[in-house]
Amino acid sequence: MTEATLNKLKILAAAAKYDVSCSSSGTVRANKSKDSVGNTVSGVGICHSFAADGRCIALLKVMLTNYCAFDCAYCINRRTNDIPRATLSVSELVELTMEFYRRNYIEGLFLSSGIVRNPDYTMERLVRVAHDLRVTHRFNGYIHLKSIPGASRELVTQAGLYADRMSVNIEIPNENSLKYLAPDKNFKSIYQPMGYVRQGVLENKEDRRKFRSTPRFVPAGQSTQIIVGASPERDRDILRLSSALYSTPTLRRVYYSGYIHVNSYDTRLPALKQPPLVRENRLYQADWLMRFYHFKANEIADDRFPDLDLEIDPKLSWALRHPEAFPIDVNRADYEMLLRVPGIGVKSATLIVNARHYRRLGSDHLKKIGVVMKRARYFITCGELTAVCVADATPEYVRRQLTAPQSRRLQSPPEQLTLDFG
Amino acid sequence: MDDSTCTLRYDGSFDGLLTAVFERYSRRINAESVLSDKADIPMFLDRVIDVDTDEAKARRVWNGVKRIMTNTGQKLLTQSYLSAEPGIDSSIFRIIIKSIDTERTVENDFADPDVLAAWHAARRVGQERHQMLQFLRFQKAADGSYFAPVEPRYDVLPMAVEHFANRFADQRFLIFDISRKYGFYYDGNKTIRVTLEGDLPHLRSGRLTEELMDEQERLFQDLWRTYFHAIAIAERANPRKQRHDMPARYWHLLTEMQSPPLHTIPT
Ligand code: SF4
Repeated sequence: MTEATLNKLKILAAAAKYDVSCSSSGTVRANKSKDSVGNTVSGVGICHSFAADGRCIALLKVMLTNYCAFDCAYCINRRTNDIPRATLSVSELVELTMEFYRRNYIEGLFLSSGIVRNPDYTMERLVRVAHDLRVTHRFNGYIHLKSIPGASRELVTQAGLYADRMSVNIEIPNENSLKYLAPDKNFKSIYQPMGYVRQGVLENKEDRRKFRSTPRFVPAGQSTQIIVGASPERDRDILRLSSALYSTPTLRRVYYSGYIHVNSYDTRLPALKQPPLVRENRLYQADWLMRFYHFKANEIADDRFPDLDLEIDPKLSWALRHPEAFPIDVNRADYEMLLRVPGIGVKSATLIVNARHYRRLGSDHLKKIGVVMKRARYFITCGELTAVCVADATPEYVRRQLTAPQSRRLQSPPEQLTLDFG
Repeated sequence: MDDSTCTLRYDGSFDGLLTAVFERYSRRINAESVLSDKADIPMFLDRVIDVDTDEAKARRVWNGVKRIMTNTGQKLLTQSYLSAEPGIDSSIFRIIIKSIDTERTVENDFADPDVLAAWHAARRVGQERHQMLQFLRFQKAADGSYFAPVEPRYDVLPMAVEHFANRFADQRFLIFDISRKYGFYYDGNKTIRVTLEGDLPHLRSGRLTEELMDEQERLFQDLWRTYFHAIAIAERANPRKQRHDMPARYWHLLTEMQSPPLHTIPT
């Protein structure tokens, strides 16, 4: 480890920064020995810092190399770009991870790579980093490895023995668009390694049933990333894809990354002045609705409404399209219905269900519990309240009330949908 | 005793608070609130009864609490107590009394102002602990051990130290609360509480001096700062979110928020 490493780290962190995933969640593993280091803790994981772009830093997110044989139009590291390139050695990566971890800078490592020579050559080196960390250094923290598109089953399976999470980024949500923008890739090269991991996990489950001591295989499952706004797909298409992915056994997280116009010379790409951050945020909210609010993809966006409303969040948008579902009686409605009310989040819905065992709830109680009454009042009744309901007042009226300039804060997402981008 | 309500004054400890509950029942005192003798006595209070902390009595009350309240409810009481917010002791006092009187835990009655206050306080304390797990930074010392200064708003180090001992089981470390002037030392086997008197500069400043520092420490701090700056996407700059998620009161102890890397590298 020398000062030359500084320069390489600078290049390879910058090369990795467009991959938005940085989460260390999805698995709990205690450190059972006094001579090993690291564990993973429950919950959402630990963000150790926040970069100037406000994103969580949980992992050392870095590329092994940013040399790449491929030429994907949307990628800063594509072969044809004339940019500084660097490669970190296996031992440098291992040492950086260990030293950062021991100082409580990070939860672990997220390692990806450009494709050098061929997919297997690259994958093999990723595996070696993970192997050395786990075996030589008894590192028990979090490891997220990229499955390199086109890598062999053997290598992907080996990687899965050491990694907590693996991911292949789909990037472009439609195969034709993908082939157009990334001629070296197709859906097969992406779904195949995903399939290897899935199979590995399922077989591992079987084995663990027989032998409890079998080590776990990719315990935090898989994730993927979709770039938003580089190709013409609608939100409906993206959400359908996400929902199909979530229905597979091991896929835990889909990340959405607003396209940043890094290769402005490439005319296959739209010339966006700003990354579509509002749209990206709406997609995260929609994703949130599918995972925690029991919404289906086609309730959020369908052929009649193929794109998410940028002005209001997708839950409010659904409610305004379904005035007939309201008002909801907070003292009786079941948990599922409470979740559908704009202004009531997972937390306040849980509190309501608990608190009403003790007494009838009025608007004062609801406010204290954390219900955003400014929104919720158009959609609920609680006995004493005589506010106008959306069904009578019309959706247009409610919409105007809730998007009036003084109440609009574009920067912050709506109250019940605060997101971690971790 | 006449029927007008009065206030029980205790020594500010959790045991003292539990003793107050005990005395309320055993001496049939009509008390709805408590007052720590560390707090100023409000002017309008005229009926104050002093309570002497008694461990045995406290334990009996706590056993009663354990019978009625769930683990979550018990944690709610101890954790919200750590917030030391004015009036939170009285809320805890009343939560226990209400639960004892009705023989049923009120911990989930979120429409009760005391319960809600306790949940909010407990959440703030829990958040402070979590932020210690997030933002604590070790520096490596020349003798191979690690040192981390902390300065939490509430006294949460005892709640957090186990996390570090588990995680860094093979690593000797000292975590020191530089404002409360005590810490925990983990020797690779067990954690011991230490209060270091005397004037060790790094226990005041939070920074190891050059002589005490491992020879590679500077390099790794620079590497970390380099990484921290390189990973941010300029097109998405969002200082508001950064400040919200990483409050400025932590910055002076965060390695990455100190001056930019000494070695500025041309891009
Ligand atoms: S394969 Fe990956 S690193 Fe290489 S150009 Fe495509 S997206 Fe970029």
